[in-house]
Amino acid sequence: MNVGLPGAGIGGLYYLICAAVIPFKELHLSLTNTEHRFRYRLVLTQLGMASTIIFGFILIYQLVNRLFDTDLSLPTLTETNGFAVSLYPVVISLALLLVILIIVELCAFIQKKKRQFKKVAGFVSSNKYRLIQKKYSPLASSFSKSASQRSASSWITPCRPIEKAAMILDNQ
Amino acid sequence: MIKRSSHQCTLNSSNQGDHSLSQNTVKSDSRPLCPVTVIVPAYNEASCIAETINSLLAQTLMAQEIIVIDDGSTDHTAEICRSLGVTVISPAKNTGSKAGAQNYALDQIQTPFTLAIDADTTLKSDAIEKLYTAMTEDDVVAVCGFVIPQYVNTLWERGRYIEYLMAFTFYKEIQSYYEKPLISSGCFSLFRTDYLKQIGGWSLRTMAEDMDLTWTAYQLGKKVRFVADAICYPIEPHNFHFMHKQLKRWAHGFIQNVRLHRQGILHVPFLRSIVSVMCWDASVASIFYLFVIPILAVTMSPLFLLGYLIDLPMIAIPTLVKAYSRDETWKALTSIPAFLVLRVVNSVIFLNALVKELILKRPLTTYEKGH
Repeated sequence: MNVGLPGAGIGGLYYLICAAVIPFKELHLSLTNTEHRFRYRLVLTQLGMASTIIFGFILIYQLVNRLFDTDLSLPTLTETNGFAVSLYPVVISLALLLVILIIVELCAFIQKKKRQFKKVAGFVSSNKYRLIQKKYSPLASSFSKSASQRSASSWITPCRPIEKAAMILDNQ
Repeated sequence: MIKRSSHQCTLNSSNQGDHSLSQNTVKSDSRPLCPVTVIVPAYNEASCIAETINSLLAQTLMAQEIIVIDDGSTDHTAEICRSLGVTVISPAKNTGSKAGAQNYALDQIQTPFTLAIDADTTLKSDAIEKLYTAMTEDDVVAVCGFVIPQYVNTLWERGRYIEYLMAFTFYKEIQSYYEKPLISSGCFSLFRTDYLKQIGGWSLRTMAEDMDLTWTAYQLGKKVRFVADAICYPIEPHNFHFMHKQLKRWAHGFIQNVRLHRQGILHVPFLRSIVSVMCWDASVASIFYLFVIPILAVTMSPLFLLGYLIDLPMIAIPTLVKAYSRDETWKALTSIPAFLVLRVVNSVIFLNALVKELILKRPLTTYEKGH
């Protein structure tokens, strides 16, 4: 969810999970890093908000069920004090969120591997051109130049400003 | 022009108008200076620029210089700014976008930090101080603050008010905890000047230059911070005409940025997750709001109309938490229905942008002001 963009469904769920993870992350940081101070206020605020949101959802479901005397035609998985709380939308949303996140992580992994492969390929090709240079020195001068350039920036496309900037920052 | 040097402020204005300059000048004498240059791109902002500059001059921590880029205004923007004692620079012709105007000023900035602020945005008196103190580590290149609309009267302003309260209280705080605020807001952010210069300033390649700048920073291994206590108050679109323009620009800008950075952000944990989830949400929610819910309501049961309200806790709780702390609970409660209208409009505009950008291959290239 972002200002100006619609939707607070799967994204909302993702943020709720992120909020739920915060206390554990803080605890981990406090235990592993002696300089880190547990941020009680932040943890309590975010966790409090997330819990109230979840409670609000349960309340809405129950309200709808009572007002319209229906369970929204969804099978009931749990029963709490006589109130039917359908977990189907939550399960479906969680599954969907999981699928999206897995796909993204897979894409990131594949791209990382591709980059590593290209870096290696660039290194191999630079060695290959060095051999060519030795064998056909007059002809290979132009090859060697492009090969050395390639090894320096194996995966960088010159027209991409971000990568240009990255090179500038790296050089500094 | 106001020249400031170590706890001192002297006035050298050729044209002093009727704005409250003297009070600000006196106050600035005793206030500490920070090595920040404020740049304010302005195009026909005569109605609101004085308030913006006055709020800058009334800060607890004074900026070293304030530069207004008068981007070919046809009203009295430049005269008003000069009368308030700030530096006014004018490109030879209109640069065509906010980013263009900001880039024009970038070369003239000598301070290590640059504060970018919109001409229609006023600040809480300690806003600059809060942002400046958050610039602690060297790899923090941008710091942004909390945004709340200056006026909350019309339907559109009320809808936006809820959007901001909700997004900045819950979503942005979590993004900030995971060190990946999605955007360092274009209306009010502090940057490291050398970083801006290294990446060539604000990019003109998308309609959302602030998002572009933020995502570029993450890809370069830099950090962006969000400071909830640094509050700014922009003027939001007050009618449908301007709201449509702004939303169109934002929706196109988001899609353009996703296309541009899709490979780069895959290497940034958390950011890749929130962007992918957001893409899904924005597209699917739009289809649900506009097609699925009405069709189901007509063909099966009117109960499906509840789909428009099903995420009410997600909207209302963060909003009311923030509104309560600001003593604006009633205003927030009465504004929630406006948000429900606004998000349907958001959906229409987002789907339209999606079709134009991805299917028709007609990207938005003209920058239109949102107010």
